[in-house]
Amino acid sequence: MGDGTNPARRLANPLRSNITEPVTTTQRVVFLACLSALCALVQGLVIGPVDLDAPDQWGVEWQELGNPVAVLWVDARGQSAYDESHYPGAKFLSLDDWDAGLSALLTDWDPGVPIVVYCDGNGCDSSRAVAERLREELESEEVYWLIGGWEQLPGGGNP
Amino acid sequence: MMAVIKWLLIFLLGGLFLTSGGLKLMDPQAFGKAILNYRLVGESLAWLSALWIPWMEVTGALGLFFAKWRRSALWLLGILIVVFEVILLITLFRGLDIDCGCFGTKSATSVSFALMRNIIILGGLVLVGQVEGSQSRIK
Repeated sequence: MGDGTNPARRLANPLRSNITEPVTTTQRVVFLACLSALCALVQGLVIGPVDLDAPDQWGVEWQELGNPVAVLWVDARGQSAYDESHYPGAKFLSLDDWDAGLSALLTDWDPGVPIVVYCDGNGCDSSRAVAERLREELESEEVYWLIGGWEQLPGGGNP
Repeated sequence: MMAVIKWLLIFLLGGLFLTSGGLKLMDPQAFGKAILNYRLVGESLAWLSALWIPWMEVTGALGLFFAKWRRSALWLLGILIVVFEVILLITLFRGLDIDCGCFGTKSATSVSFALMRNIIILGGLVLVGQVEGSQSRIK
């Protein structure tokens, strides 16, 4: 990273060479980071306070399910996990192989029966994504995802 | 030829980071939740990161298109990718089955896939830096 100034010009006007000291790469990186922080600050002020721990829409606790038998369970953990073990009667459905999984699901689903989707645990996101897509495609309000997922099912995920 | 490869990579990487940052900016709450899922930081830091990281991706991506800012943008994006890789490695070792949240929450990506993808992205950034460096030496 050369300084980019002409030595002859610097000799002719030493004061000017000080004023036009080139900006280094590090300074530019810091500038970009600070500019991003400023934009983030403005966006944060516009959005206002948020509660990231607030429960998501359509999330349901195991305890809230009155009669788990009257629910169509959907397993969104992955094919191998499903093959190994799954909640009794649960159907496998994945975003990766949506059409096949959905056709199998529709053969067992009566409109009006609530659907609850589960994935591995608190950190997983596939149950939310699957539930959201099911809501759109089935045009049903009775599609939920299980808060806490597989780990919250009776028997710690091994019912 | 090298100039063509460089610009191709700049468009690819720039587009990738603009998309990634843009998707997160559209739903920072969802990205904040994705960060919380890593179980490494608390809610405040997750929210701060959810706001700051996407903007760094966007400014870095835009910087790639301007010769004066390219080297700095490469460093910024490179540092980001290395930090992501460390976090993803920690997550993989802890055995957490979570969505990486790399492109917002609309497209689910596994941690292991994200790890491999980031190595390729880092390779692309290094390659642009190398070509940029060799071109400036020739000049």
